[in-house]
Amino acid sequence: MSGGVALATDFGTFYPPNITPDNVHGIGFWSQTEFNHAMRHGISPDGDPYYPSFPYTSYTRMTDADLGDLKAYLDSLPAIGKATPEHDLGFPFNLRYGLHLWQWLNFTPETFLPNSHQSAAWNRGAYIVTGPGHCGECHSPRTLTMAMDTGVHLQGNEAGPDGEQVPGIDMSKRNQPWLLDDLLFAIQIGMTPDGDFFGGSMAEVVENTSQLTAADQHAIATYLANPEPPSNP
Amino acid sequence: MSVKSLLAGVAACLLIAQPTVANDAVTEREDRMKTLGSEAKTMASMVKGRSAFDADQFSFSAESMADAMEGMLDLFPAGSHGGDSAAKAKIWDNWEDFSAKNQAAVNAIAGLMNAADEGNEKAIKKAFGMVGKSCSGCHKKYRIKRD
Repeated sequence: MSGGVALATDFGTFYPPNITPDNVHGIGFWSQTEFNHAMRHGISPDGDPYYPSFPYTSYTRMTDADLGDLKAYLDSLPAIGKATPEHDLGFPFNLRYGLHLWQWLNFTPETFLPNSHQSAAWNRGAYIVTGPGHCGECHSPRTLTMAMDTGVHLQGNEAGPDGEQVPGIDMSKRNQPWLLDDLLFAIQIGMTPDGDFFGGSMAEVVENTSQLTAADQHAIATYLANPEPPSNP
Repeated sequence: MSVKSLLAGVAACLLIAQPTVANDAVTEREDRMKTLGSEAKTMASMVKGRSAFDADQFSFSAESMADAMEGMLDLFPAGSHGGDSAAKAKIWDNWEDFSAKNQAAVNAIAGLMNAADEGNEKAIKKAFGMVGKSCSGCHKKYRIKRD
């Protein structure tokens, strides 16, 4: 959690910051309000907008309760006094004030709205996938202005981070949709229906998804079998 | 034919043979990976409950996996990446770690063989999960992502 793992993109290299409770290099001095504002509005306690490499565009849907739990967990970790490199971006993307324009064009803070026509599991899955799980950030293509393209939500991205081709995970749009237990296996142990095991960044994702509760894993699979874009994108 | 030209000829053959050896290794390791995947698929189908649970089948599949892993490291001669190969160049910069991950897979498969021989369904499914974890552990770092 002390940051620094490089994320290479077309715009340059992003270095995630230290989010341990260190008072100098981490976020130990943040209040819950500042933390929630960063997560849901993409604005730092100093009032600076964040690059969308920090997926507040998804986290914006997280509930107060989850953000409270998340901060409590981060606060419980050991503080690590380690500085992380500045993002290394080309012109004009290195000009942070340009992000005000980007946010104005592409981002509206929102809350998660359940779909009353769907089951509780489907809605739970929708919340995880479009909120804290931020699956669409890699699994959806981007628009010309690099916003997540919710019109083709979760239908894959030819140009993902680190030059990876990211497959579509909206099973209703695939020629050979994975069944519910295929999806479960993928997020539980990282196995595809043909017996292969994920490599690259999805293998890292599975290190996390494998630790979710069985009910949450089931909810994600239920939603991905027939997802809908966020109701208020 | 002078000795010199003979030697030159031998040297040329060696130079030509070099990439072929690497290509053979790539083809062979990819075939082995397909075997591993196909056995994983067979076992997963039982874990998912799509086919009837059969401890003997787990024994058979685990043994086939163990065979496929036999000498796997030899199929990664230095520099056999690039082209259509999904192997990352950093395998050879981190050979010790790569070898350790290979051994972890060999051990996990041995664990699965033991569990399968003992026949306890729950233990077998758990051991199968460990095998999967060892596959992912290596793919995560050393395989180029594919769809």
